[in-house]
Amino acid sequence: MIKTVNNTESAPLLTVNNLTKRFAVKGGTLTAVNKMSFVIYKGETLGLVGESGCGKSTTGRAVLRMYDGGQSGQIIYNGTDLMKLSQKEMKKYRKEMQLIFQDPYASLDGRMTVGSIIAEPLNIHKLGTQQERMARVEELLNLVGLDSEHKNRFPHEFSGGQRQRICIARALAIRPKFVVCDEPISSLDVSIQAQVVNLLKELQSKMELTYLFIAHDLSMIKYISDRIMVMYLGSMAELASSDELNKDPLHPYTQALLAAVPIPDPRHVKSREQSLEGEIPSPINPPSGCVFHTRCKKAYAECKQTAPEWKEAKPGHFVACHLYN
Amino acid sequence: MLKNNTFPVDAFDLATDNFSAADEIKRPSISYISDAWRRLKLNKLAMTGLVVIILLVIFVVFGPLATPHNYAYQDFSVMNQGPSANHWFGTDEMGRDLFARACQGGRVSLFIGLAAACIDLIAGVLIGGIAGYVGGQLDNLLMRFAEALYSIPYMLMVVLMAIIFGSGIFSLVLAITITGWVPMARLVRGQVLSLRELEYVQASRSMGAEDSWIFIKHIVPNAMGPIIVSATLTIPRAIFSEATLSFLGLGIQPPNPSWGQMASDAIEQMIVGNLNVILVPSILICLSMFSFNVLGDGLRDAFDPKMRK
Amino acid sequence: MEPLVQIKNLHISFNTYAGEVKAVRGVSFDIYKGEMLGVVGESGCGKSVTSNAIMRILPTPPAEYKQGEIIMDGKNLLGLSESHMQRIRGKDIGMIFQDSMASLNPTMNVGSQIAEVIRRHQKVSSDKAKRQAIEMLHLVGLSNPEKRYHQYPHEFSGGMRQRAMIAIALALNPKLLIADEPTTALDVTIQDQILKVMKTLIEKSDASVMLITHDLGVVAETCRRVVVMYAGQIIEQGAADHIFYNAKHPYTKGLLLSVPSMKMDKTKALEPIVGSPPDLFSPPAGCPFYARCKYAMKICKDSCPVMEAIPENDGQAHEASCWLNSLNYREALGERAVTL
Repeated sequence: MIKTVNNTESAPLLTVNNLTKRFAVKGGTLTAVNKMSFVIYKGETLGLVGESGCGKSTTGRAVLRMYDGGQSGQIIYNGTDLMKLSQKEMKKYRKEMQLIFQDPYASLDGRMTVGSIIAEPLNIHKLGTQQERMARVEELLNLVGLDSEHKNRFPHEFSGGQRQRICIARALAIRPKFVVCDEPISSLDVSIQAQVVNLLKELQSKMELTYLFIAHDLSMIKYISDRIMVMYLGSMAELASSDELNKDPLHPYTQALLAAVPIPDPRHVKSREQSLEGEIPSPINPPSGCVFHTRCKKAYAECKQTAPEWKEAKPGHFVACHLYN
Repeated sequence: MLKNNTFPVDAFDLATDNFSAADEIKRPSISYISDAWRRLKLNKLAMTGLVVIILLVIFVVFGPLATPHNYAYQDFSVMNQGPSANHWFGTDEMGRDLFARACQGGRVSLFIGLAAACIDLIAGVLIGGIAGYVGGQLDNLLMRFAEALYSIPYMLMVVLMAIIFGSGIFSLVLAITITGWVPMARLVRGQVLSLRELEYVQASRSMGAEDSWIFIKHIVPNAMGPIIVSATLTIPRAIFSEATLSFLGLGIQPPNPSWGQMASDAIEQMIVGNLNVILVPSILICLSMFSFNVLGDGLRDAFDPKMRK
Repeated sequence: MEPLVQIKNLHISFNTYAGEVKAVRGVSFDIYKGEMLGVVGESGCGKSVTSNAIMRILPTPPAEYKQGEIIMDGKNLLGLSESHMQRIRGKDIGMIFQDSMASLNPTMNVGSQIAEVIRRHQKVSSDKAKRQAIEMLHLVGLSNPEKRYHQYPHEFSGGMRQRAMIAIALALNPKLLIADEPTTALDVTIQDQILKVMKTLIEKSDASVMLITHDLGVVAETCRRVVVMYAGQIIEQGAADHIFYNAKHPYTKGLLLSVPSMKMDKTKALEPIVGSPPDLFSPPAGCPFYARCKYAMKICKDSCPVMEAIPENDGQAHEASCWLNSLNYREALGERAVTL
């Protein structure tokens, strides 16, 4: 299926079918990701939103085959099913698929200089001569708005926003095609988040990248995403273009998420009718039927019995909720 | 600063090029090692230990060149003498120059200490590192083997080595290190287990790095701190072990000196009244152990990121 | 209105390997009785150092109080003995931290941690303290408080732990509550709940709150007055309406433009502020915002602007430190003067 992205025809880059990831934990099996199916088109940014424990980070890593085992389903990338490859065969694909982590403090090795950190992917895959690698490192530093001089410094000398920019430079070193951004702005100050989001957008058009952008906050994600997918406790709740999701959220969870975001406007009065009560249930023992029914203000008898189907309620707007069946 | 609250003519003109400093970092750059060294220097006790160690090394290496006497030469005409211009540390009950014996004995003792630390380091890092990194059955196997070895009584091991390899430096070092590497291996394994899960290791893996790359580039440099500390503290333990064994007659055999061996001989002389003979090796053993211990403690504080000031 | 706490010209530095880092440089503001004051700024601007200074929990060394006073109840908190401060902490001033997991003792059950605070300051029996603790757990909205009393921190979710922290902080009805980024680490729906709990409890008890955050949405929702900090200094302060609708400092303005609002449409891009805050190891001589300011002028590089009062229709105080607000500038440029 061809989709229009940024007014150009675009083919799917990644097709995920029934992706499931289970962890064996004390007390049973944790199904972190439960039969997720979605498509990411070339050149687009698909946002993936959900709260802690919903499985969004696990989804991102599972798509990149970061786990050994416990995973089933299909991940079709450019015609190849990545699930059928061994870790050794995956190494070739790792050049095209990169991951940016949430914590810019923990994802950089404090013992290495920034220059060696950014050069690491080049060194691992043995690309270019030593001189070419150095030149590329300086080019990347400038690309993310930092100075070439910084390559001799150590991570602890930089601020959070700067470290995240270093992580981005590292991820782009080997010219990937697909980047999973796992909550890259969550641990940054709100004022710096805009910097990083704008940088990612700029780089996307410059380098023709496709993003899976994972976040727990709906306010920032709409600035970078073309389409947004909402997850709750391992299952998909809603999927629509970001404009459509903001204008007309269908799933009660999406509505609650949107309503909960604090607005930087003192005169704005928050409506309390959509706020969520209670805690997120444990993913080891998820509720029966629709996993959201325990916190849903619109739940009725059916919701406890059966899980809702994934339906296209409006063109291009999918939702899993009995209200729309 | 404004002078007399008057504004210069171009005060309110727009600044050009102010953004060049937007991401500037002014503080000097410092690597982890340099920072650790700086912190070590602030620790007076540790630095004293370091200086004493350096002096001891100079003493045992260059001492024999400074004195005209030979450590084995017996001269019964000068038995049990106190320090003099001729014999700087005095002589022992067989008329041997104590200074020369102290130097030679020092070479043996320090060598044993260093050798034990090196072997501990290599065996510990390899076995503990691999066990921790690979995990699973291999980890199980290696650690159970280590524990089994460690549970063999120490004295039994010493005697066994002496029987198989004869007495002498080689069998002594072997006896001390054959089970001595186990605590180091446990330490390294623990370090590796915790480092393995860190995000920068996962980042490396997501880039396609292989296990060997991750181990050498990320795990080992980050685990070095506690490993170096442990290795430094192995030295005084080994020196003391050697001293004890030689004292008991199981270590270096006479006439070859080691500090422990000298102390053993000297016990009999204390009754005769020559304190020199016991004081020289005892003081040297104490000095070396004390300095390595304070240096090791200082290194532990210097490498600990939580104690950063 | 009487100020509960007055901070006067506070200067705090840290002695590091590289030299002196001037973390707080001449901070002065008041906290009034019964008000919710927001302190906004990026990481490293000095807001946490200031709040820790009020509680006197900065480790000295490496921190050093170089100058200034913090007056509460007629006494300078910086001059009091440690034992006197211990009587004040928990009883007169309560604090909530960002990382609830690290701030709670993992080896004690949650209820005992509340009871401990109560018993340290009041001579009550352990039974009475336990009952008070259970009452607090109920007040912060935890279901089944008797059961929760005996549970351990690791059995609580993030939101629940934060509620427990609020219970500990408010157990003795303190006059001042310092909340240092209390909801930053929480999911947005849980954040919503926690803020609601805090607001309800504060209204009941008439305590003052100093809410430290970098999230402007949280500030807009909860605070009446706002203090904006940058690079160890206060660059603007005033009523929330003033700050959000009539910001007079380019940094405040820049912050507002870089933060998404649900009302703004997607096509209008966010305008981030370029660069990062200056390294306080050698703070700039002039305005600290110079290197990132769209409106920077030559004078801004060498001279630090002074705090100027901004006239407002509602009569409430509003001040900002920027050369654009100075009379000299307005006179010199007349028609061409920039109005933020």
